[in-house]
Amino acid sequence: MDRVPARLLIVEDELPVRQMLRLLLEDEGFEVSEAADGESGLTRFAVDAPDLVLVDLRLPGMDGLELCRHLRQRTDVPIIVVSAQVDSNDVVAGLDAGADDYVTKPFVATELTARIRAALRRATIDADPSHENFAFADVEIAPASGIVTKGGEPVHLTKTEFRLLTEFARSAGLVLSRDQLLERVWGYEYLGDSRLIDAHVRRLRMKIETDPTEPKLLLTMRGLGYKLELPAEAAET
Amino acid sequence: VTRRRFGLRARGAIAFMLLALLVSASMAFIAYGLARNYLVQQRERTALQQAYLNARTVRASIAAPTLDVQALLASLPTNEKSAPILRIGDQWYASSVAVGRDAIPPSLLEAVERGDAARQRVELEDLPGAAVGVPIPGTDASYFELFWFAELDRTLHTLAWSLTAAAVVTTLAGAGVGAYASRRVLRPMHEFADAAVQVAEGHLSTRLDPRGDADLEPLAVSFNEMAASLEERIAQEERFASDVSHELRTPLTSISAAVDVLERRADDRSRAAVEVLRAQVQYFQRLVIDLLEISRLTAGAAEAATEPTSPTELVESVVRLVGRPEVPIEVVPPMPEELWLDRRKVERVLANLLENADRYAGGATGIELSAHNGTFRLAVDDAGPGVPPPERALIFDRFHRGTATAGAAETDRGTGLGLALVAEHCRVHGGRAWVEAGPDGGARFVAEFATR
Repeated sequence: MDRVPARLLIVEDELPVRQMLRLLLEDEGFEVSEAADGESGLTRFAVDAPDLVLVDLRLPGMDGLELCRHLRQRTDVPIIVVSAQVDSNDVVAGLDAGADDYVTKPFVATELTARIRAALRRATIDADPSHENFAFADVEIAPASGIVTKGGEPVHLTKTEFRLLTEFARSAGLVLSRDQLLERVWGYEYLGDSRLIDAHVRRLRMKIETDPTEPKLLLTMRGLGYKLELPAEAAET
Repeated sequence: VTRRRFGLRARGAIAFMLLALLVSASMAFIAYGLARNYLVQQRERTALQQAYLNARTVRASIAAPTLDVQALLASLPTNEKSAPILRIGDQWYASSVAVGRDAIPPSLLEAVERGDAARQRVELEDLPGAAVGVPIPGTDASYFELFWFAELDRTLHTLAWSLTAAAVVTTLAGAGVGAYASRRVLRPMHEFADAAVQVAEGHLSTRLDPRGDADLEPLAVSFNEMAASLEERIAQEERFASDVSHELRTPLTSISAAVDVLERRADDRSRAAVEVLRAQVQYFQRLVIDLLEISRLTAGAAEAATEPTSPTELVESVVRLVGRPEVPIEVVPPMPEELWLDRRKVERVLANLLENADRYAGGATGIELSAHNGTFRLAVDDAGPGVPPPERALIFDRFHRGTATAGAAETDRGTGLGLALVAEHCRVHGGRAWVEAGPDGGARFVAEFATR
């Protein structure tokens, strides 16, 4: 990552913000391309094949949420929402639309770059050949290949989701606090926000639970965090 | 004039009671009067017949040459409730010493002297009675008989008592009916009051069912209109705040990013200028963020989003988050495993209190958590000079600049909103914030949150 400059795509309608982001991130050693609205964002994504996308939520035409959903359909590159909307609903909506992380405007430059680097790190370090495969219920995880199947069918996970799931699998049966998850999966010590975890757990449940409204695997431990519950027969074998 | 001595319900009950009293009392009076009149008349007729009969007996006997008046009077069929009196010439005869000529009313006496038979109602020994006078034709004699209706008086007494009792019962029943009716009538008022409380608590979508009662419909409709316009106004304010927020944040973002870029490229001469710019931009950023936050909290729509939360875990994570892991945390038992708390509000409050201690009092020296009676309490102690009592209430005001702020570093100016935000977060979370003297001579800032 240090040798080849990572390519970032900024989708932001405000020209001054876009210009400054470009200057700032180029100073940090990234290669930057820009788009001023959702549609051209998709086009630029196809042309430039960036390693990470920064998306503003309030965009003319196709808005940021829609852009996130479109991007998620075709790629699992990290998406970071950069938004002036700070209400919980907007943040959660952005995360539910598939974003890996979010930063509110006005942001602190060091915080933004720290989050970008952490997201790139999560996306690149994926192969973990040292670890054997996990299996619980009808879900199988192969860390070496990064493949997850449910009932034999492959499940598509983003890198963040994948790392979250393997983290749960490693500590199956144990309660993981939100702070622990932030530190282990996102690599944050101070920047974390519990909504980040909650939204990602929700997304994981949609993909691996048979009935996401009544989770049997990823359980909420009220006031403590989350736990991957192994079904009884699987735990015995 | 105090017109609010009684509530509507009490007044309704009292009005019904007075009406019932009036009606039942007048009915009782009329019934008593009619009954008494009828009974007295009946007795009078009997008395008259008896008196005439006796007069005839006297007339037959008076002609006899040997007249024993006393024997004659004694032989008359009278009972203990009547007394015969006989006048012959100037002589008066009575069978009883208790009654005599004096008992006969003068007007009756006069009528009889003129030669007319007459009767008159009298009071005899406090009992209703009648006096009858009959001139005996052909002689200079008159026969009188006094009657007193003792048994009638007892009957009337009983009647009066029963009527009084009936009136009392009716009055009480009136009060009961009044209370019940007022409650029935006022029930919609309670619904209105409940709805108003709901609205006041921030449930702006509360509406009344206007179809309940034709008479109350206009009231329900106007209440609903009021609630709707309030909801609309708050929604507008929220939209405005959101627009303002966006419009302020966007330029701030580019300014702050520009300062970051400048800072990296600045030479020694311009670095000082960039530093000033950076500090001011940061201050402005914090100010905007805090202002927007406090306006959201005070707009009236803010609610605590509580969830079961481990208070100790939450506090530990905040302490780590703000980079103060060395501050000792004391948990006062009993502390439940989890409490219903709004994580973000508690986080913001504690972070602001720790920042306040850092800025004005040389840092926090301890955090104490306690929970009792449905509240969760966070106390942050510092080693500063403490807050003088006159300043304790003012210190939570927006932009309050107290004596302690003079000691704060020029470059690290607070926004003046940190403690106001603490107070607002606590208020929205059903609690409050205050400052008192700390155990080690510093100040102790306490934030309290409702947990149910």
